[in-house]
Amino acid sequence: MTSLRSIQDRCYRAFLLGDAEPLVPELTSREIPAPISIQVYQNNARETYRKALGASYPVVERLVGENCFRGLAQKYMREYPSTSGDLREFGATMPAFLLELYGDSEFAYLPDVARLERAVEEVQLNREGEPLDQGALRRLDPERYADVRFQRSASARLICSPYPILAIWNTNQPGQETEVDLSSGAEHVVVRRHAGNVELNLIDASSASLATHLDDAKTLAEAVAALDFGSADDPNFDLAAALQRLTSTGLLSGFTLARPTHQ
Amino acid sequence: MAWLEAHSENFFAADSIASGALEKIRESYPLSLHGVGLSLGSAGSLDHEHLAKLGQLVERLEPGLVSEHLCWGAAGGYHLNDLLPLPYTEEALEHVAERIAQVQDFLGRQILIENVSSYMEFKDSTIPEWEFLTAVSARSGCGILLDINNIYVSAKNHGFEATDYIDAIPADKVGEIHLAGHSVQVFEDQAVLVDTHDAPVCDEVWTLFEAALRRIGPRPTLIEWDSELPPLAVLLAESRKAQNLLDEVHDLAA
Repeated sequence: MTSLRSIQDRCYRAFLLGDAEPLVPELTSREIPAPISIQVYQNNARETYRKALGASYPVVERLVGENCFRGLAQKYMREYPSTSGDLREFGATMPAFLLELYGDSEFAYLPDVARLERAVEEVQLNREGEPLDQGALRRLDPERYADVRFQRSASARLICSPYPILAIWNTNQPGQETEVDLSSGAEHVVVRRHAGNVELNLIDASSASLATHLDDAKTLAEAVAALDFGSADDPNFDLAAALQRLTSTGLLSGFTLARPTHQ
Repeated sequence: MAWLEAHSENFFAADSIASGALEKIRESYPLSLHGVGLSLGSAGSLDHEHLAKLGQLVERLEPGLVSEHLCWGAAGGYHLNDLLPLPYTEEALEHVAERIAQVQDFLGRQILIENVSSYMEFKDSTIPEWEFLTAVSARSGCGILLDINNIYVSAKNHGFEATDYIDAIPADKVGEIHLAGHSVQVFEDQAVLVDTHDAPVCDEVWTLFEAALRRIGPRPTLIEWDSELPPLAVLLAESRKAQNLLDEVHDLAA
């Protein structure tokens, strides 16, 4: 008699990887021939994972078309098999998978659109963040601003892309149908959970760059010093306005001071 | 509406928007949590992380019923996210009963175990599925969630009498009943009934449901329709049909 473990390993190989031969002798073929049984379960696996990825990445599915997405889902389920009984965890590495496939192609925007869709899904799972206490910031001695370390809200994500990903996302929502000029430039999108809904807001490149530097646990002074005004960042950078944008879009949730205050 | 059933895994994230909505519903309705991912029959050890999340959810929502499936879905650390049938052997029986007992010990409560639809039979199986399910219940102390459509689908696919299955199940162990629609899929001229939850309950399943109610008595009954959803009126008509049959049996028993 074949052990339970061996039967299950054979099923896994047959249903997910297409290696059906070792499983055939384990099945009766009494009413349904073994190869047909295996086809049914292979079909179930393909459909389960296609639907799961389609639910997480509906814009990517719409962009590549149903048939292409079906092929992508099949390749993905074999290369990045599910590691959880909770199907919602499946597909977290889809952006990286698409980057491998399309990173150097004319469809290089797809991985970034997928990152945006993943962010939309993730923020729905986290607690709605408390807004940054701007009063506390205003009460701070201005001499201490340089030492402020901002904290990122767990219910917000920043997705930066050289492509107009929010425009692509918007035009691929149900009922929407407008042309997007792929050469229209970079978009930096803050995705947050707010008032029970998911909000997507654009911020400018300098604010996005500041947020990225603040992420590395830098103080405000260190983050500003790290801004590269010679390239993407705005030479007319307005720090107060940038902080206001990061706060109003919900990206920042709080702050600490790098050194204790000396009275 | 008398009560609601939700897939446990969809609410593992305590702070999610969906969890907030379910908590609101729970304030007004009894709840049943129905898991699809614990993979009770897998040969490896139990997924304790998954079980811990289920435990936290049960603690949070205090459901009236908690159920899982008589199946496996993971091998070698990877999941198929499907409800796969076990070989009905003494080895599998001992293994799955032990794991169900572990889950019940962890949760501190009885769970219901649901029979699944199947599209394959293992050569090593020596125990009819209905005897296997009954023995699992007897050994682990779990209750039974009897899915009438799954019995019908497997009976048609494997050539046994659905009534034999229903008649063999101990009535006092049945804590809930599921109904659903299925589809007929054709693979190389071979028709296979597949449990797709995307169609009305078929006449034969309604007949089996009525027979089951007369033998077992009225039980909380849920119609699973979670794909290709029809207009609400169609769902309500299905629900009314089930309720009418429940009421008839209840009146007979009174």
